[in-house]
Amino acid sequence: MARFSIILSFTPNRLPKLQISETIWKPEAYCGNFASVSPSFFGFRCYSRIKRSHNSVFHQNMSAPGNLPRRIIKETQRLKQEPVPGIEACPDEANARYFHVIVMGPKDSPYEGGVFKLELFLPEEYPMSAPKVRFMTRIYHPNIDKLGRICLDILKEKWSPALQIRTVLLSIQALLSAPNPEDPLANDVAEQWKINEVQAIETARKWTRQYAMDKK
Amino acid sequence: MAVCLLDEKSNVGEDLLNQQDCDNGLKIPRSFRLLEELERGEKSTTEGFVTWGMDKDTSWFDFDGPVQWSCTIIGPPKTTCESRIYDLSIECGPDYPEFPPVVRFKTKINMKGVDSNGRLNPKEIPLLSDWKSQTTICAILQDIRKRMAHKDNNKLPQPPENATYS
Repeated sequence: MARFSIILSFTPNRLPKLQISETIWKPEAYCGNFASVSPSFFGFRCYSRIKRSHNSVFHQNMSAPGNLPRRIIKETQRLKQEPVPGIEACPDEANARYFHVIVMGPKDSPYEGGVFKLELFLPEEYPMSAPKVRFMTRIYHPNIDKLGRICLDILKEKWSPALQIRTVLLSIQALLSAPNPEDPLANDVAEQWKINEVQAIETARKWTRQYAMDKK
Repeated sequence: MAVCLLDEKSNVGEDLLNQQDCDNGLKIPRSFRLLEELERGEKSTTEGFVTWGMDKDTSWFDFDGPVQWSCTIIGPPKTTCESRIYDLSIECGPDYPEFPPVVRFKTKINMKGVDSNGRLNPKEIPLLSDWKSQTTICAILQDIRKRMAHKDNNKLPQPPENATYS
């Protein structure tokens, strides 16, 4: 016990005292610098001590890591360290809950060769409620409507807190490989898909070329 | 990396550990905010006799620019507007939701704060002049409806039904 208190009084002087600067509080810098420190009790204690003495700075900054649940920090970190093939997800500089996502059209699908931009937002209740995801690039798909909304059960009633940003993006990639016109969101597209699949796939290819490929 | 040593002088008490973080990190991006409003409009039942929806042609392209909502308000009972259907447009500019949308009547109405082109003067509506980004489209419409029933407005003679601003 005595030992414990010695360590405790020692800690604030052992861990680096941090000078607040703008760059530190960006999530990426946070991940790099603090993620390895903060999981330990002392690290966390020191971190919160520093954070408290600079509360005003934290409050000015929208993406202060102190406000960001650890789960989100870990997921962000892992997305960066072990990216999913064909998917890129990058947190916004000003808002660590907002991700700029790129999904490459899967091979052997009408979207092959396309680069699709999406946006993803983790609401306050995350992970108790699903992330919000939307296609920003136009896409001809029976389960994606003209506002870019995606009809995917895990984004709605099948959401579970065990799922992650990673799994959501993988499911979206899989949805591109396997359109499901029986559970449509874009009714006219689904109709086309059922009436004349060959034609619909051709239109999907055309849209991919038109909207999802670099025209340079 | 901008990490450097700092003199140990602040010894902020441990009691602050329990201080709750405020969640000001939560800023919903404009696009998701607009979708939220849209879904609210699609699901909304008869609560309050107002409706709002996006124009049918709104699509991917339109999300970055201004977004138009087509709205209706049913005139409140015991007023000269009773049971009339008023069409309005609400335009959310690129700065929405940090800045308030622009509200315009399409159906002619005689009402305080509405100019001769149907535009609602935001100064007359505290909800708009004192804008908070969480204010919903629904709240704006309900506020306008409440104003129609206000004693300043409820006896005003009204233009012929279904007349519109050009």
